[in-house]
Amino acid sequence: MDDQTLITRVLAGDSTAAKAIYDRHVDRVYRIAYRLAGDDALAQDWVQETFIRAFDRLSQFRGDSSLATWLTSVATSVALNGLRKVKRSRTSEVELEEAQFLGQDSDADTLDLRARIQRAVDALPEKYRVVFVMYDMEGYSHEEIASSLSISAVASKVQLFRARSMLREQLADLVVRG
Amino acid sequence: MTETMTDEQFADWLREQVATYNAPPPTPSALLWSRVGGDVEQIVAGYAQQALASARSAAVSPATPTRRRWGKRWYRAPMMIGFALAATLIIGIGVGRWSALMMQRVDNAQSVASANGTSTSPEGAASAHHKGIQGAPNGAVASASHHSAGTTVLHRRGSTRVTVPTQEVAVAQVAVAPHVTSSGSAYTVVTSQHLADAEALLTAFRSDAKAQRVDPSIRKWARDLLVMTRVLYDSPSTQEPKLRALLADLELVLVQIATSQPQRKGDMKLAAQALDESDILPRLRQTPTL
Repeated sequence: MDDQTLITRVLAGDSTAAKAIYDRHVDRVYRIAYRLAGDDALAQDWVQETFIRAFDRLSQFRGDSSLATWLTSVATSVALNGLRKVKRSRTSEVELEEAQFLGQDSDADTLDLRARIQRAVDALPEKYRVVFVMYDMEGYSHEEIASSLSISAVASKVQLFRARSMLREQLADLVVRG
Repeated sequence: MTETMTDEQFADWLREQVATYNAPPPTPSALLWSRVGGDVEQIVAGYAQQALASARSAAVSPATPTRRRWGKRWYRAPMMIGFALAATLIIGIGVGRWSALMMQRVDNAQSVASANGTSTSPEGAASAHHKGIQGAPNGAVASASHHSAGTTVLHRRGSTRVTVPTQEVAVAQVAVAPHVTSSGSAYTVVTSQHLADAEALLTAFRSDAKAQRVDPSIRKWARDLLVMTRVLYDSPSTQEPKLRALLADLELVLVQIATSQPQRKGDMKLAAQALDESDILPRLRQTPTL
């Protein structure tokens, strides 16, 4: 059964169709939420909010893009709002995780590399980081990113280029050593 | 080393390095559904109630357009005016027919009076103007009286029966005239407005037909105008031959628009063709006798 049929059934009051939509898309939503949150509890909160918001506004879904893209759009919107709320606490958590990480691993160079990369990616401006995560980590196309973030495909390419440039600049010394 | 790396090489290297960045664990799907499911089911239950409510309202009044459907349509106002004019027209025709009936009854009374040889005198006529006149075999009542400006008005009265002298009947016949004139004015106004509405509809339709995308509401509008067109055509006041011919042609075009099916593009073409061939729009703009 395709997504449009499921949506029609949900709007007619069929809760099994709602569960079918959830099953079909939860993995994609959770992955992007986790990538941006870096934390399971936070990612779960965002997934919950994403699905509740999506089902609540399902009647507004016009089918201009696929349901998957629309859900990703809702998820990234929820994630970006969430990131703004937890920015401060998140920074301190990363530092704590880094300290624990450094204490457990024996390969200092690898640790240094991972920690630096983690920090560099975290330090990217939000809009660059979202595009970078979606393209380089989750394998979205620029068209999908554009639809999800309500930007043009060209803007998505530009933001990815800038994200990579910033990372290249910040990681230059690590690359030389590697 | 970075100096020797191309952008593509760096992108590949970076992709490798960040593969573990916030790498998500397997999705805890069941756990998440336990958090989401309750709320989602409540939302879906809301949709079920909405669907039920709209099904009920559709069953109660299937032909009633919803506010959403009509809310922003540019032709909403003309349609409302159309309905109001239809009501006015029906009332006008009713008044006209009532007046005609009264005249007929007065004629009958005149015949009866003539047959009975009732004498006429100025005194009798004057008396009748003040007491009233009745001349209906079936008991319908009318009265005539002079007003200060010299006009005569016909009134309905109770059930009193009065024998009508011939001369008084003649006065009563004159008294009917203002009513006929009054309904005639209403007729003129309603007909003019109807033809203006028809012109608006046909213009909108021709524009839509050119774009091969006719709004379904235009068909509904055509049905409404079709009813009014037939009422006007059947009205005893529609005597003017050009107007009758125009209404007849208009009726044919409106029938084609009203009965056309959106999926059959041929219907639209035929209606548009009939519109052009009958030259209705220019004729509407030069409405005869109005």
